[in-house]
Amino acid sequence: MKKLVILIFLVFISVQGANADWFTLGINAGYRYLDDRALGEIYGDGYVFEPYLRYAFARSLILELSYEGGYKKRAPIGIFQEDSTLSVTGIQLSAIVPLPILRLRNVSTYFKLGVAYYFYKQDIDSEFVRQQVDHRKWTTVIGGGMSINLFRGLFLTAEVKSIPLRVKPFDINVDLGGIRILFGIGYQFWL
Amino acid sequence: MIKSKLFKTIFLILFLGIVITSGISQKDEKIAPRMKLSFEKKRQGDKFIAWIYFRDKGPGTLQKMEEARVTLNLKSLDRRLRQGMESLVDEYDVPVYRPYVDSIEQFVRRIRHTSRWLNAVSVEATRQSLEMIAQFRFVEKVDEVLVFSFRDPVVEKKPEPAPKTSLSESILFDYGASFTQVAQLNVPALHNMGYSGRGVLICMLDGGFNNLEHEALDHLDIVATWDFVNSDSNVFDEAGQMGNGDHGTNTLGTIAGYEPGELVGPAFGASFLLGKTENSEYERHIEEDHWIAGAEWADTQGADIISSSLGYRDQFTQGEEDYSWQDLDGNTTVVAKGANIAASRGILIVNSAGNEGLSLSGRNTLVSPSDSAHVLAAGAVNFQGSRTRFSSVGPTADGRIKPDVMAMGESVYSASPTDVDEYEFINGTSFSCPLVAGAAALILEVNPSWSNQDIMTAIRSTASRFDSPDNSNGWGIVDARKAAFYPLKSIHAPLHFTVSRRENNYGFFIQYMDQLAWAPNPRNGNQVVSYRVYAKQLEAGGQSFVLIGEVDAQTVSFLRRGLLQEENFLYKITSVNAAGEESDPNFTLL
Repeated sequence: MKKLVILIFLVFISVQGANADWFTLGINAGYRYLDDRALGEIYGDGYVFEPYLRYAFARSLILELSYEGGYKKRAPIGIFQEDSTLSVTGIQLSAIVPLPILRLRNVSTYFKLGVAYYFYKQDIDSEFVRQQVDHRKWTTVIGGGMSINLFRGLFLTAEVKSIPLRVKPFDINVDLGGIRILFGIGYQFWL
Repeated sequence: MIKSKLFKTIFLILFLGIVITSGISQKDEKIAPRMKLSFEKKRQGDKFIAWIYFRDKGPGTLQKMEEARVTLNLKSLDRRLRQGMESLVDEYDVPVYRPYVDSIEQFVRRIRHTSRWLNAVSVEATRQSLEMIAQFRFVEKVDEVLVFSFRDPVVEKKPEPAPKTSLSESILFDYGASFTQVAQLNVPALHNMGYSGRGVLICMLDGGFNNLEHEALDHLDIVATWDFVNSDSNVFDEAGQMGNGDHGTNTLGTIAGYEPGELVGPAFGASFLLGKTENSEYERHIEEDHWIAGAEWADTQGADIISSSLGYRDQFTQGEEDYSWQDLDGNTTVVAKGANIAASRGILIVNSAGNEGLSLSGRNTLVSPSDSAHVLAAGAVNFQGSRTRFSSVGPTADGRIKPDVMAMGESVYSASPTDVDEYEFINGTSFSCPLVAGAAALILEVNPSWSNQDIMTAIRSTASRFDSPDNSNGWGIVDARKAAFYPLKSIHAPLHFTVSRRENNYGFFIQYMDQLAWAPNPRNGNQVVSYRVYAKQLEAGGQSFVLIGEVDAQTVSFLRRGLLQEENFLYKITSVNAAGEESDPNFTLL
């Protein structure tokens, strides 16, 4: 995973020579699905939000740093239906490449590939459970979306991305990954 | 391939050369005097049956003990715990070191038995081979496997059948002609309460078991069978094989026959292991290594009781190297040593006292292993309760009272070994033995937490001569009902202690929860104020039990939570009364 981060960094370094001319601030919000069937039945899918900062190194290459939060679910678990909370948050670093398709006047599409560092935590409110989960793991991000420019630097986005997150903090394999469907708004600042 | 074979051969030659040259000076010391005498009496090339005892059990004994634990079944472990063996296994459970056996195998005609208890193998070999084997460094001793005759009782007149007693209204079963032999032991009182030996595993060591289709035997729960003489699982007579199974049919019928109106044995509801350990082709001709192999098998299979209507005293083959009366001290004969080890594992051994009668010199006439302090020796009485003339007497060579108890051994009614609906009257302490063993099975059913020593104490303390034991009748005739309810303990362990494991899935991890359940022991009345539950993690080796909870008397189950990985626990539970007294434990294992 670290190699992938270094690779993305090197790619950006290599295109430094090209014109870097804008950055973007924005926020997406939407729905995330939970791949793990067993945990999905307990906690279910949920809403997430994702503030981000994008910096264009070149017209054809944008770097995005984002944070995903909002997925914090509370549900009874186990034989005794003990009160528990699951939260999954992450920081993502992605490279965005505009796609040469559907190029309308105010609409653009893009492909996204990156890495993410996720935090997952489960608290069980029981006097009997001796061990709780508070772990983290590197993973990858892959997705795509479209932007619709409104006026000046303001634009809307729609994005779909998949973030796999297979974890095994103890003896059970759990897939905390899933698809995100996000909609958002951003503003582009020209330097 | 050829190179590898060559290396192996060179290595073997070097190895044998080293061990043989280093062992020459010790050869003579290792061959027992009895064996040397036998060498003198036979010709070159004759076959000898010998024990080869090994010095040790090879490297890594502790690890092997842990492996040996896995081979024991739950019943065997439970019995050992009742005995107080908290470590569950010891060096006796470690198998004989295989490379030692492999090294001698090429020199012998046949390996008969391998005994982990004696750390020995019994073999058939020539003198030359045995002398060669004695030179191995790892060989401790070479001794003769003794071969004995077992005398049937000398009965001067044809036995009179015991009178058929009319059944009183309070008797649940129609015992037929077997009434006297069980009524004398007060067995019907326990049968009336619903006890029949259910849940108790009895190993019968005898000369084979014919006619198991007999109408009084076809109900039996026979868990396993093994023929130690012919090394197969058939314990009945087979063409071309040694042995005769009539005697075993008689003893089995005596202990567990069930045909109302004809024959009802004391432990007709028990489960059985049938071990053919006697070669009785010509006479009742028995070899001690078969008995040891049978007792080890009984231990592994989880037997609670061994009923052995065999005994060893007079050597058959030589006639000069018998065990003498001085050897009957409970620790000298091979079978007594084996019986002592079996008893240390919690097995209750009931053995016939012998049919040798009185000795004019006043010395004991016992057969071994009935001389062991840990064996319940059964002597014979007639239907009136008087000792029969043939019943062997004590004391043991070290002065202990024997026999221990008495039961009918004259005109005992049992199943016929030939016809499926025929019965016969038989004589001998061979039949007192299964009657006592059957009564012991009922006592164990009533008191599942009792050790073998507890049962022996209860039986002796309640028998007809409990206050004036002697060397003719021991502690007297068994009273099964009194013994079963003998106040050996002031407080009794809970019954039916079981454990079931549940999985509590928390998504990322599973919590394993052991649900323990038990039933109050009705013999405690209202005395119990709490139950103490202890646990011991088996993987941790010798770690002792830890108290995990004390719950009040109303609770009949206890949930132990918090095992985050699969671990094997051994649990024990005790009852505690208002005076703070704690009962013996009952055990359960997942």
